Amino acid sequence: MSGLLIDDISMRFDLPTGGHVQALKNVTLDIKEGELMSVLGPSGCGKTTLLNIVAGFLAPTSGEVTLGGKKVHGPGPERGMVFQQGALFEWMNVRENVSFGPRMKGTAKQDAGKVDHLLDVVGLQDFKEKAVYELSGGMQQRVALARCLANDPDVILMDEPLGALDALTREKMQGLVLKLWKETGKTIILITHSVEEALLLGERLVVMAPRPGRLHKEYHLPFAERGVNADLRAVKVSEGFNETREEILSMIWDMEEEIMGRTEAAT
Amino acid sequence: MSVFSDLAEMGSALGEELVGLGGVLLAAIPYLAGYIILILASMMIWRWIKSFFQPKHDFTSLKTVTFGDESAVTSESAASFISIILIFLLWGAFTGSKLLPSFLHAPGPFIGQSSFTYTVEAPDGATDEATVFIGVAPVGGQPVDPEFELGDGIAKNDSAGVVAYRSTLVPWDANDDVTRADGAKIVAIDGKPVDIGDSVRVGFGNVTITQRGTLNVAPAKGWQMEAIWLPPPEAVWSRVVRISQEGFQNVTLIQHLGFSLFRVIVGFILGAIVGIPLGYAMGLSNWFRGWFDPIVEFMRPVPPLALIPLVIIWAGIGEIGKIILLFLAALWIMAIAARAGVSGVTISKVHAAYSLGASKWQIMRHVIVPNSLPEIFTGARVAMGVCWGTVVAAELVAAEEGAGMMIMAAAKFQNTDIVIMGIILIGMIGFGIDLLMRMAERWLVPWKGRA
Repeated sequence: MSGLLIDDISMRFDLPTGGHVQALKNVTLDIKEGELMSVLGPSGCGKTTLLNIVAGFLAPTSGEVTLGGKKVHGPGPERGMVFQQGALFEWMNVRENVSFGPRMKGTAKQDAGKVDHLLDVVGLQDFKEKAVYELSGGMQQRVALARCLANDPDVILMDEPLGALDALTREKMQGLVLKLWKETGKTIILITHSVEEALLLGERLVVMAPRPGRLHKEYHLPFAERGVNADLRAVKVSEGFNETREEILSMIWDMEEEIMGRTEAAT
Repeated sequence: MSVFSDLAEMGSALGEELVGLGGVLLAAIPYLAGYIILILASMMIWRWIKSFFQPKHDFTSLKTVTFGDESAVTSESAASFISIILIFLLWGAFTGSKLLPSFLHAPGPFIGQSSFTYTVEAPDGATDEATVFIGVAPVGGQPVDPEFELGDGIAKNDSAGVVAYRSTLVPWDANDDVTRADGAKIVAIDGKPVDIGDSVRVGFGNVTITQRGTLNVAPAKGWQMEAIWLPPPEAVWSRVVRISQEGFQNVTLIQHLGFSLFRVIVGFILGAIVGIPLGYAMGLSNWFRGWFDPIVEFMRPVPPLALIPLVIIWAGIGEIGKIILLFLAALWIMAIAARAGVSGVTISKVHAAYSLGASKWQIMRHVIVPNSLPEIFTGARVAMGVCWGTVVAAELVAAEEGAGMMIMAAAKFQNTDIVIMGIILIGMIGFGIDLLMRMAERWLVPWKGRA
């Protein structure tokens, strides 16, 4: 295992109506093992495209992604995914969902203990025989997290995993993500459009800009470290949090306004 | 030009039909209105009765907005109960069923003896009055001419016997002193002046002067249906009992129904065996989608019944032909359902499975197939319904045995009770099939509609 290298990725595709979209342009990121990186940006900045390229669902038009020196060609179990919602298998109960990866590998027996342990960690030990559609949104996301971890990936890619949750559940889940990150030492890339979440859950924070999607600014932040096993509300009022949040918010506002202006000028 | 004249011709023919239809509909309006009033009245009565019960305190009962709230509208079982009872009540009332007390019966046909008078005018201007005695026998009885005395005058009394619902001609001049051949004619019935072709309402029915001057006597039919049009419920039931014991045309009832069910099940299973993989192929491959789309999209709107003639030409009227027909009926429905099931899989589920290390085959087995099951079940329910309808229709056309053949053969002999029995059994089996499919669905795909 070693770091994840996103090397000069560009993504450009033709539209059926003619013309083309430059979704990403010359994105380079070197992510160290065990790093927790959050990616932030206005809609249309290509952050989900970037994640899909890392996951192997999309191929970049130029550049490459390597994990531990090996080039990424398609999806693989070493890069786990956590989606916003709707990615659980309703026809399986909680335990079957979590043990999906081991079962596909044929290591269900050996990994049974690990699955049980993960269910414990995410607090679903009492729900393991339940159908997933009987769970609340927060619980479903815990299942998704546990399912991803049960497969023991090197990198966890999270595509707005907490986006559909209510504010209170979301805060609890943010604590859980931090806890899991610290306990497992996994490399995590988290996409979000909540500035606060990006600050709380990113020791490294990348702000992307749209049209073409590109890296705009990068921060190294202390809040994730502070938040591990601590009160996240205390972190939110701790030194530097507010200032950084305001700075990033105004940056994104400027981008949004620029987009609006350009769209209006174009029409 | 000829297309337009054809259309115009069709238009005028249609117009006449529509005028006739409009008349029928207009005549039906009072009855429909009465039915709706019955519905509303029973609702009010039921609400009034319910007000004496302990009121419910569940969540829905506390809702103040129920008009327009879909979740507050459930099927009121009391209404279903009354509605079904009413159907049998009306059926019994208008067929004079023995299951009902007679005061609930609609007025029946006139039975018994009655009479009317007619006035004859001889060519010389002399007139005389005579009486016709009519005896009406119940359905199935023998018509008997009532006893009578000839009386005096140039016109003598007559008598005639008739069976309920039928009419009879009375040759009134057969025993008279002057006959039609002499130039005599009837000028009044029961004192009311009449002419050729006129019809007069008398106490027990209608009397018409035919074109040839005789009397056509039609006793009142009342409001009840004759058994050959609509038999009473108990007649249908006793027919069910008899046919289930004796069979119909050398085939037992169970065999008739069993043959139909067997054809449906075999046809459906074959259709599913071919249709589901076809739908999967169409949902998973561009090439297969392109290849089969025109075929499936063309065949889907063709009603299976339209294929009956072709199937008969190609495969005859035997078992093979029917199974081919049902196979075709189920095939397209199942293919489209399976295609929709595959297309309906959320991409994030597939992505998640790939990221968890699943192979293509494992994605198929653990994600795509289970994800498509709810759609396939919906399709299967539709297909079973269509197959059941198609098999009955196919048997109507040509079959040695089967539910459709049974009612078609019975209809040729105006055995209305068998026809109604068949319709009820066909309906119950169709309903039963759907019920079973729904139970299987709840058991096999409990996550349906809950993703």
